[in-house]
Amino acid sequence: MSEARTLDVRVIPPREKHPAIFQTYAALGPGETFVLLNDHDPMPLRYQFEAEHPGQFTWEYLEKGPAMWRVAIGKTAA
Amino acid sequence: MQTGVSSAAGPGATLAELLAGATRHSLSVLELRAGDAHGVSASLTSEPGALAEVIDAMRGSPVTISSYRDNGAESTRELGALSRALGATILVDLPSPLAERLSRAEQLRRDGATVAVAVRGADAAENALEIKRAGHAIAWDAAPANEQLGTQAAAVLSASGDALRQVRIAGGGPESSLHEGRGIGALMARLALSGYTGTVIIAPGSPTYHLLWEQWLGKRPGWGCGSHASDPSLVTLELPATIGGAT
Repeated sequence: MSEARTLDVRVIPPREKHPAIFQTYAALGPGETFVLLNDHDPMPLRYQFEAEHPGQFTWEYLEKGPAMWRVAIGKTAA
Repeated sequence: MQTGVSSAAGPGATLAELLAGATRHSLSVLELRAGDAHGVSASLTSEPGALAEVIDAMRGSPVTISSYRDNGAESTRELGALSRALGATILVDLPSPLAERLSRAEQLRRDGATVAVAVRGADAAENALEIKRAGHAIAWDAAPANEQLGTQAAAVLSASGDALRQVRIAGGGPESSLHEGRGIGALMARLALSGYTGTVIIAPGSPTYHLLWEQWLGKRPGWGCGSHASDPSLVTLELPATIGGAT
């Protein structure tokens, strides 16, 4: 996993966060990952991934609060 | 990628207050502007023990000083010493033609500083290309309040390549909801996908928002119970001693 691929959504306006995350995910190649940084548990995002990309993503918590959440989100290999 | 805040968020804040504010938001770096109240300046390097006090203050903090924004008023020799002592990049940000900024950057480099040259506005990509050709690093000051970042980001990132060290978003943090639809999300996605390893600094888009930023830093309590005591600008309402029959 490349830790350099980090998307810090804390600085992104609220309504642009999910589009930026899905834009990043869409640009990943199979087996690639990026790390999402957020100031709260992005669980609703996971539900959206499950609805829109079932079985096509990986989700691993690297840090769980209390001030910052880091989640490795990947695109499963084809 | 490391994310941090500029001392422009609290020009009157001490270094300790800036460190506390950054820590509170889990940010990892600070950009200090020359002349703000944080107490760090190039002249500290000529005062015995003064810089050691700053380094002591940083010890134990998860936050580091990533950059120091040069306004051209300080000695390049002292700035070089400051850069080495703090491990910080000196950002050349003068209101002068690019050739003069490059000349100062070159002098700073000869004096031992790690250097980047600031670019902004419509000429950002063009200037970035020249700075990169001159062998210097680039710090892009993006202003979503004044420009659409989407197209400009593509041009600046392409021109800068791996010479890009810092992206400063004027209008991030507590102001970000005011700048929806101006490309901050697309910029951050682009940085992530490019494997950008530099820093992203948030800063106020305008002094108009200084109260918002002071509150965000934790310097000013929010409205509500207890806020009056520390805010002398608020008016005290003189009420009668008894209201509604109370005795």
